Amino acid sequence: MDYLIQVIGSGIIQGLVYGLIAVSLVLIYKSSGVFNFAVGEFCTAGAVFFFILQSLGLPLWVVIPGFLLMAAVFGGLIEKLIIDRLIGRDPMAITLVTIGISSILVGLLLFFFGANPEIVELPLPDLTLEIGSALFISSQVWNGIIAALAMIALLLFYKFSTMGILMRATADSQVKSIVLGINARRILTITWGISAVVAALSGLAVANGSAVSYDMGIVGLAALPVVLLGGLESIPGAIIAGIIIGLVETTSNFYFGPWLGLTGFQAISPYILLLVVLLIRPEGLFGQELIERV
Amino acid sequence: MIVIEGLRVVYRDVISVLHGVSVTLEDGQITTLLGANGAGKTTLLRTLSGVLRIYDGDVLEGSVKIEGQEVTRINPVKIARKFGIVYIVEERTVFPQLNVMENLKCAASSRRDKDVARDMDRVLALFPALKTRLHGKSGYMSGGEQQMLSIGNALMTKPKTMLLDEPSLGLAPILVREMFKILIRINEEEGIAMFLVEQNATAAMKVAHKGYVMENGRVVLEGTREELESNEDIREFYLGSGGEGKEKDYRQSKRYKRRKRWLG
Repeated sequence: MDYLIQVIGSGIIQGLVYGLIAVSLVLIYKSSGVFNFAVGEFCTAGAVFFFILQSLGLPLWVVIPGFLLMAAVFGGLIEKLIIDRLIGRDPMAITLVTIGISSILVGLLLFFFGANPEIVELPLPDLTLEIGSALFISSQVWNGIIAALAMIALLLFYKFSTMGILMRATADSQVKSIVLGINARRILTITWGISAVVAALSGLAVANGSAVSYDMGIVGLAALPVVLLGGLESIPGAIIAGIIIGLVETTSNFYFGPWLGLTGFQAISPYILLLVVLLIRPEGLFGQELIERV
Repeated sequence: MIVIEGLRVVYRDVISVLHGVSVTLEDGQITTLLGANGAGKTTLLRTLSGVLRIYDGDVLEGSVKIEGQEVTRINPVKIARKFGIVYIVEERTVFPQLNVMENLKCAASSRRDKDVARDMDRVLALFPALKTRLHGKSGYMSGGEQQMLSIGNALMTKPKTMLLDEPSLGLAPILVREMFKILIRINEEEGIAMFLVEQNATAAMKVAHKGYVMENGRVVLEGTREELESNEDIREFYLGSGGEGKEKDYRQSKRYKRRKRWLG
């Protein structure tokens, strides 16, 4: 029983973090049809920003807004300098460019940050949870809280704020927003900035309690089955799919893998689930169907 | 006043669509543009609103002057904001994933004045049907309601000129009549000029002060409503009247021969 609580709890926390990375992907995909393969490096960059500010000895209430601001500027700059020039091209072409951006960022991170992992520890109150013999260490609990709060904040922002409504409008149709005098390009820049902030928060959640290294961006790959499962255009879908994938990974690690006698089964289990779901619902669990009136 | 002179437009550098179109839109007037499919009407609206580039189109020759200023190289967002031009696209300027409130809010987002709330009430008074659907996704509304919202969105930008691309498309005749009544009201009460591109010539002629007829990328006929309405060709080809009593025979009407005369 305690074993089960441990597995489910870890799965949910892991899943929340995956979900947050997936949300970052969905934001960009919704607004421009581009799949941002550099999302993992966006996570790393965010965690690096956090590490840099923290190692300067700044207090936490400066470090947190500071690194989020840096991430926003970073995402906005990438859009402005690279993506903006490609607007009007096939989204697939831009998607391929993001693979290039990813490689360049890995190189830059290696060059400036170095190859040594650096320990990241959020100086927060101890929230270590013990349920029976199940143990959730404080940093793990905090990572779940950070991811959950970030998701709630983002959902509220996207649903109710004027900028959120404008982001949804330009995602619906860029031409229609332009003819109504909405500066769709500026909104796309802001969307990239916000996506980078979300990625930075998930990067922090990945690094907290362990370490940040230049090749941490590999977690971006973990978000791939999540977005495909949840549907590329749905933020709630990304969150729910994140939790599902997290649970699938931990349960297959603790139960199904040993039962099947396979080591490393948790790495492929999300893809098996994904395959089954896509066979039944090609648009993903919560994918947006085009509104068609009959 | 908007003056278009000798406009030549191509898509993808090779597909020539407009071959020297000249059109003048007077302030506060309704001007209609009639023409068959493929005549270049939508292209003209895209050029005017500045979104032509998005469709890979280019202006080769000619000019579009709004209040004396050349706009063919200007960014469409600036054209919309600075000159108050709003373009109601054929597929309706509605964001289907947003509800009615959000649609109207979005449309007003580029404005800096404080009358937004008042204008929203006015739009809802103009289109009472929208009131009942304020919080439902607009994509699920009927075609008529969507067209109303489309015009409502356009009004929220506080425009000086509305470009309407076949607003009657897909609407029942009674709705078309109602919509045109509302357009006349908007034109008279707010003094908003309109450039009305239509295939429904009968309805468009009733509301317009002035009209143009386009064929194959050229303006072949222009005049005031009275002039156009009394023109034999217009009556026969567009209004479906004229030549009364005679049998409507394809050969007798010599449609092709007479159309050629326009091209000359």
